[in-house]
Order: sequence, then C-alpha cells, then structure tokens
Amino acid sequence: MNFKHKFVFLFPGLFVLIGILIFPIIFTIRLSLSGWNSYTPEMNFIGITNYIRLFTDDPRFWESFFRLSFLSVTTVILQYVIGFALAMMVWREIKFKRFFRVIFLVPMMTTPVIMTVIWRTFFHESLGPVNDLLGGLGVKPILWLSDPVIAKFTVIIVEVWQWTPFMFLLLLAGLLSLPKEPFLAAAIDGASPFRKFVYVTFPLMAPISIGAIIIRLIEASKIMDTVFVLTSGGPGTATETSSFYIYIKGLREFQMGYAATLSFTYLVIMIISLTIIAKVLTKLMIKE
Amino acid sequence: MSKLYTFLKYFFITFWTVFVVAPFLWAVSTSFKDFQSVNSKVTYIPWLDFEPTLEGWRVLIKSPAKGGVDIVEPYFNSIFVTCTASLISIVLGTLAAYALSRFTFKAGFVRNNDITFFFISQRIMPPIVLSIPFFIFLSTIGLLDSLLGLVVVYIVLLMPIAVWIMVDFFNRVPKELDETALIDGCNPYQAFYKVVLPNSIPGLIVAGMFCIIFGWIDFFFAFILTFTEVQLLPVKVVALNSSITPWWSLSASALVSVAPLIIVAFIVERYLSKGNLSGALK
Amino acid sequence: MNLIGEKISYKPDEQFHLNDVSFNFKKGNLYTILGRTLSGKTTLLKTIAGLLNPDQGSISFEEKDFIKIPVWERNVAMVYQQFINYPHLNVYENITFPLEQRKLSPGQIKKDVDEALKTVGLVGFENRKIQELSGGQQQRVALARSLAKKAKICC
Repeated sequence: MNFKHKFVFLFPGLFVLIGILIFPIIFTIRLSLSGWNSYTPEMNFIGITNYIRLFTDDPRFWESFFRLSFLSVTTVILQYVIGFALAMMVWREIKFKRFFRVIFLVPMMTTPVIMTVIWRTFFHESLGPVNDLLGGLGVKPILWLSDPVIAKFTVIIVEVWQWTPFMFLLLLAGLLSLPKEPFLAAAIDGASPFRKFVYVTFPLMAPISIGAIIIRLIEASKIMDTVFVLTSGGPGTATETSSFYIYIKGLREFQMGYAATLSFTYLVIMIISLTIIAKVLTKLMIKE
Repeated sequence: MSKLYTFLKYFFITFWTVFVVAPFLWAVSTSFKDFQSVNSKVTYIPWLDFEPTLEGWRVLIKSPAKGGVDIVEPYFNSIFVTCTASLISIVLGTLAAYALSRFTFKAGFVRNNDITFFFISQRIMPPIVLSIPFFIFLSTIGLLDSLLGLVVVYIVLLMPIAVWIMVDFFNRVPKELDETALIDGCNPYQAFYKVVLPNSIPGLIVAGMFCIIFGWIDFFFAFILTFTEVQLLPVKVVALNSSITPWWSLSASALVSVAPLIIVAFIVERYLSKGNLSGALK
Repeated sequence: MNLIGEKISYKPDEQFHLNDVSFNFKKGNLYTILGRTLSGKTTLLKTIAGLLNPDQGSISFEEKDFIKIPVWERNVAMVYQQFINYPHLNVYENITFPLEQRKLSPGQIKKDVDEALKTVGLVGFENRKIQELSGGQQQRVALARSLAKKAKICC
C-alpha cells in the first residue's frame, strides 16, 4: 500500500515535534559557543573556548558522568533481576495473584519527586523509622543521607523501589505473550525447572529483555528528581549526576553558555553510548 | 529442593510487598501527627504511640493567607496539563504511528525505522538539556509560567511514548484488515477511522495510560518553567519540603497527589490479566 | 468490456514479483490462476484490485485506464485466504459495510444483504459477533460481503 495520503498521517505529529524542538536544539548549539553568564548575559561568540574548558579543565563534570553511569547501570541491573524474579513469581497461578500484581505495579504510578520527599523523612537519621527500628535491633544509626558512600546506596534503593515496577510490567507482559508450545515440549522432555528457565524461558524473553533494559537505561540516565530532593547532590558532590551538575552550572550559577556546552556534549555522549549498549546487549543475549 | 524454592518464593514476595507498602504506611501514619509526635521520638501507631490530629489534612484546603497550603489549584492545573498534553500526543502520535506502520517512506537514506527512532529518541534527551532553551523560548513567545507553555513542553515528553506503543500495536493489526476496507470502498482516512481505530482501543488505552503516568509524574519542567502564576502539584509538594519540615501536611499532600494514579495500577493489571496488554507492549 | 492487462511488472526489491504479465479476461467468465507458491498469484490479484501499483505495464477495464483509479473507487471484490472480517462489527454490519460505503438506499441494502446471507446459508446469524463464529462461518461472512457488493470484478 502506498498512497500520497500517507503524509497526512505522518506530518502533523512529525512537524509538531520538530517545530517544538528545532529552536531549543539550534539555540543550545549556538549558546554553547557563547560566554553567556550573569555578568555578560549576551550571545557573543567565543568559539570553542567552552569545549576546551570542558575537555581540559573540568574533572567535576566527568566525575558526575561516571557517577551517573555507575548509578544508572547498577539500578537497571537490580531492577532487571528483581523485576524478572517478581514477574516469574506471579506469571503462573499463585494465591492472590492479582493482588500482588497490583502491589508490584503501584510504585511506578507515584510521582518520584513526591515519593522521594516521603523517603527523605523515612531515612531521616534521627526522626526516621529505619534508624529507629534498626536501633531496636541494636544497630548504630546509619548516616543514610550524609555519608558519601551510603548516600549513593540510598539513591539506588529509592530508584529501585520506584522503577522496578516498570521493568516488572514489561517483562510480565512479555511472559504472558510467550507461545505455549516450547514449554509443552520441555515438559514432555522432562526438563527441570532450572533447565526450563535457562533453555526455554530466558532465550524466548531475550528480545523483550533487551527492549526493557534499553528503555530503562534511557530513563535512568535522566535520574534527577530523586537526587534533587533526597540529597541535592550531596554530601559534597557524592551523589551529583550529570543532569544535576548542568543544572547547577546553568540555573544556579547562570553560566548559560557553559551549561549549554555541557548539555550538548552530554547529549552526544548519551546517544553514542546507548547505541553501543543496545548493539552489545543484542549480541550478548541473542546467540544464534 | 522444591520446598526450599517455595519458601524462598513466598519470603521474597512478602519482603517486596512490605518494601513497596512501607513508605505509604509511614506517610499515612505521619499525616495524622502533630509537631510533638514527629519531633520527640519516632512514633508509628496512632492512639498507641501518639494522639492523632487532622491538622495535616485540614491545611491542604486552607488558603495560604490563613497559613494553609492550598493544593486544590495546583491539583487542577496538573490534571489539565497532563490530560491536554496526553490527548494531543495520542492523536498526533497515533496518526504518525499508523503511517509508520503501514506505508513506506523514503527520503534520501531515511527509512521508516529512522523516523520511528527519531520520535522515540526524544526520550533520551535529559530534561535539563531542554529546560534552558525552553526557558528562553517560552519567555520569548510569552508562555513562560503559563499552562499552555507547559502543555507544549509536555507534548515533547509524551508523543514519543504514544508513537512507541502505537507503532508496535499497529504492527500486530493485520494489514489485510485495512486492505479489505479499501476494497470495500473506504478511502485511506475512512479505513483508518472506521475500521482500524475501533479495533485499536486496547492499544489506545495503554498508550493513554502511559502518557498520563509520565505527564503526571514530571517535576523538572514544571519546576523550571513556572513560578507563581501557575503551579503544578509536584512543585507545590516539594516546596513544602524545603520549609521547616511540617511532616504532617507534607505526608498528607503527598498521599493526595499520588492517589489518583493508583487507580491506573488496577486498570493496567486488568488488561494484563485479560492478555490484552501483551499485544500492546513489547 | 474486457479486463486487459499488458506487460505488467512489479519489482519492489531486487526480485521481480511480477515479470511481464499480460492477460485478457472476458466479461462473464470465470478464470482460475494457477501457480507454485510465491509465483505471484496474490500479487497479481492485488494489482488488479489496486492495492499494489505495478512499476510497468497497464490495466484497462471497460476502456478506462484502471491504474489511475484508486482502490476504493474500483468496485472490486476480493476474499482473502485468511478470514478477514471487521472484528468490531457483527455479521449483519459486516455485510452492509461496503454497501453503506457506496451510499445505497436502506431498502436496497436490506434486500442485497438478505440475499447474500441466504446464498451462504447464514440466515439467523445476523447479530452474532465475528469471534463467535467458526472458521468456515467466518469465511462465509467474508464471501457474503463480496457477493452483496455485486462487484464487476471478483478476485
């Protein structure tokens, strides 16, 4: 089928999206070549000075980038493993199946930033229930939010709580759409549950898994709301991610030009690395 | 072996359920506390540990002049922005997804898959990258700190989701269905809205729910692009966080804000159990 | 008044799906196209129906250039191997659909549909949903829809 009418379907959406985005993108590129800051708020042209600064004299950005990579990869792996386990458990008949499915879905329906506000009181070091209950067991108060190492794990806990349901949903929908025949064949061959998982379920789920992991990595790389409320990037810069660093440079210190440089570089890195990750995962999980 | 497995399975399910529910229980309990029961020592159960009050809930509907928080207006703002942006995204996204699923596009090296990728790749863009230019863009056209401005921005956020879900859905609707409609005398538009659309309701519902979820939970754009004229719910609740921890009203407003979407969890589960969702999600 | 195809070729990728096909179908006759799997039988039918545009060649019907007429104005009928009906409509609505599309009078529609239902032996099934029918019955609905149209060309 090929009609000239096809453009009538595609163009409204395409052009609305391009129309909204064209200005911000061109503007960011142009801004990144300027020295716009609170002293000289104007679109002057300073060439690639900002880019030189970024690549030679800004370890804080690269540190924040590696921190982001660590946080997002760790959370996505945890979400995948836990989400897959949960999906496997409520895939077949168990008691209160529908109740558990709803419960497991609930966190992704809640606003991250608002739940993080609750988590902040939850992990409060003297007035929060976690340290209080652990104290009852004789554990010394843990510095959930003010220890540079532990604060990272607090962020991970909250992120895993928030977004495991999304992984769970994608994987459970995938499990429910699998064909029945391979499982029957495995049952006839007398395969153990473990072998059934390794040789039947997992390979069948590989394409869905890759899709789910990529989508989650894309979303996790934008991790910002949680950090913003929970730790504000602190203590020090212990939980500062790239987005948060760009936010500080751009909208707190008003170094707009430099922030645009960071933004653009960051975007390019993200697109390249996500494409590579997608290729590698496809190779690893789908064995011919 | 299998007994151990069953034990571990139920242990894990119970553990996870407690983990999911814990912050909600804590918030419910806190929302009935007063200054004394929050700040003296950690308390859990009303009447047993502390004397519950309704103060945290009452503040929500009081006007700010009387020391209240007034989340009613932000609530309606959030509903308006989310629904309008979702609706526009679904309409435009569904049309585009239909075109990408059914027709072949060629322009230079660009093929259907590249156009689909262009739509979906907008999700890669971190909010911060867009927020600075959007700030200047919206202030130039006078839409900063307005509902309309937020709707425009949210379309960028939501249309990729609509396109992603609907392309996948249409790919599963047999092409022969549209062809039969054409042979039966429908032009392509009629084939779309008389035949394809009525058979795409499960996909549309899933896409709609995802748009509503991701619109409702956004914080950052609302935070950067609005100040006083227009406030959205998440921004309002987070603003409470920075002041001197009135945990009770904070908890109450948080619970009110997350409540409506919990219904969505039930709808999603229903579709999941009926097996309709598997076709609409990868 | 014949359906004439001349030197039709269709090559969407590296391979020919139709290569230099010509035919001359006379009015009122029944023709059977035979061929191996993937030899292009369906492609030829889709080309006649107008779902595919050939890269070369011409089709004419009643002395008119058929290729310039879009599918939805050609008034052809076609039944697929797979049972294709409209899942959101019941049996009766499925059969009336093409007739309403051509804006026939309600009386005419009723007459044509009843006749078609009788021919395929589905009287009494008008209000059933498509999914409630067996495979054979579904195919008969598709057949009835094609018959009721009284199309000049049936594929």
